[in-house]
Amino acid sequence: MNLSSESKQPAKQPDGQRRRLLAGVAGAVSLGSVGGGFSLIELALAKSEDETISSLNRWGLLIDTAKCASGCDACVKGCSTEHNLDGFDRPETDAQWIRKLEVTDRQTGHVSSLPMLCQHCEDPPCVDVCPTGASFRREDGIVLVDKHICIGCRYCVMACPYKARSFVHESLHNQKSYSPRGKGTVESCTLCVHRIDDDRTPACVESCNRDGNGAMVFGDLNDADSQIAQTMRDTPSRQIREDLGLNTGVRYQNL
Amino acid sequence: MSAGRLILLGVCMVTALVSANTPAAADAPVFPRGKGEQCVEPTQIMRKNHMEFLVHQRDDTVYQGVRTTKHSLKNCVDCHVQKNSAGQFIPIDAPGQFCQSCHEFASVKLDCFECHATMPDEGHAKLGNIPGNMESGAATLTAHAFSKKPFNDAAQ
Repeated sequence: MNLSSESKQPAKQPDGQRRRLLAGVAGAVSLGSVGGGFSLIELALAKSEDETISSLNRWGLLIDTAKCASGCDACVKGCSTEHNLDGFDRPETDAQWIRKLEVTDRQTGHVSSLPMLCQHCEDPPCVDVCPTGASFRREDGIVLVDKHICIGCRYCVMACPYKARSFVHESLHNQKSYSPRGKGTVESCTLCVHRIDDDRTPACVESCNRDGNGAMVFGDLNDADSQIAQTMRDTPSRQIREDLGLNTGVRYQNL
Repeated sequence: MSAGRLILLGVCMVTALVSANTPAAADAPVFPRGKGEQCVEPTQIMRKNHMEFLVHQRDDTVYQGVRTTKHSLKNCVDCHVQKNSAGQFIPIDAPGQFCQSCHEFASVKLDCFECHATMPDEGHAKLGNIPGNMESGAATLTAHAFSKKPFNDAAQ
């Protein structure tokens, strides 16, 4: 699927911020811009805690490498703090859900700085190779590890073209209640699924906006009215290793 | 119904009868009460079936994004966790605490807490969702990481 076909899908469900906005004004807004077949009242309702997720949404990130500054690691810090990725001061084996990369164009010498994290592929290689089914893709596009059935074989670590996955080598004691992590399992960016289920934006995006350069946009790629879908429709963006045809949920601009 | 299920049912019934009719045995586990008047389900049902509730909730949460708290492990911890005399949370899997005492008595290895938090989040550091608190939270975490002090110390 290419970008244009993705962003042309009809409005289905707004992202969190929009949902809240709509919730307040739902009664007063006309149905004109939403299209037939959907009630604005239904659209306006945020996901309640007992509601299941839906494939009507596809969550994603758009990262503007022109704004992402070399040397800034606000997103990495935000992620570490959110998920208590303390580490043991052993960089080679410590968990790393998001990292900063500098990529150089060999022809021109132009250097771009960008955050690399799980790209939340539509066809994830990590899910293909997982022997137990622990690696899976949620209906709303978030790729996760069910650590209850992960046996720590690390096939997915090998399969991921983005080196996005980490293995926990040592016993941990200070996990967050919303982010269980443990020895012997593989883990990676969850797109802050606990926040998304609560209608909030991922910690990296929040940190980038607050402490960094506002280079990251989070939203629903399936919602034509969302900021992320509109930006992706109006300006060029690309997938890293687009030759693999994975249809990533994380896209980059000015790369 | 398979033979295995019948046996399991028999064991459950005997366990229920024993636990219902006998006063606490001398070596029965002693653990602190949770908050509030009663648990999310009647005590007898929780004793027998809490693991079923937890597994059901776990799959709903991981795969379907259902975030209800009634049968969540987080809710168990929030309600049953204790504080020591210094006002610090004691990990719920520490000896004598709610989860650990019973599982030890029943010789059941408790592995939930190899991954899951053993105390409410504010027990570690106030971080994350509170705007402007990121720096102080990170500092607290760093301080903890460098102190090398195991959380189990809090149980003493």
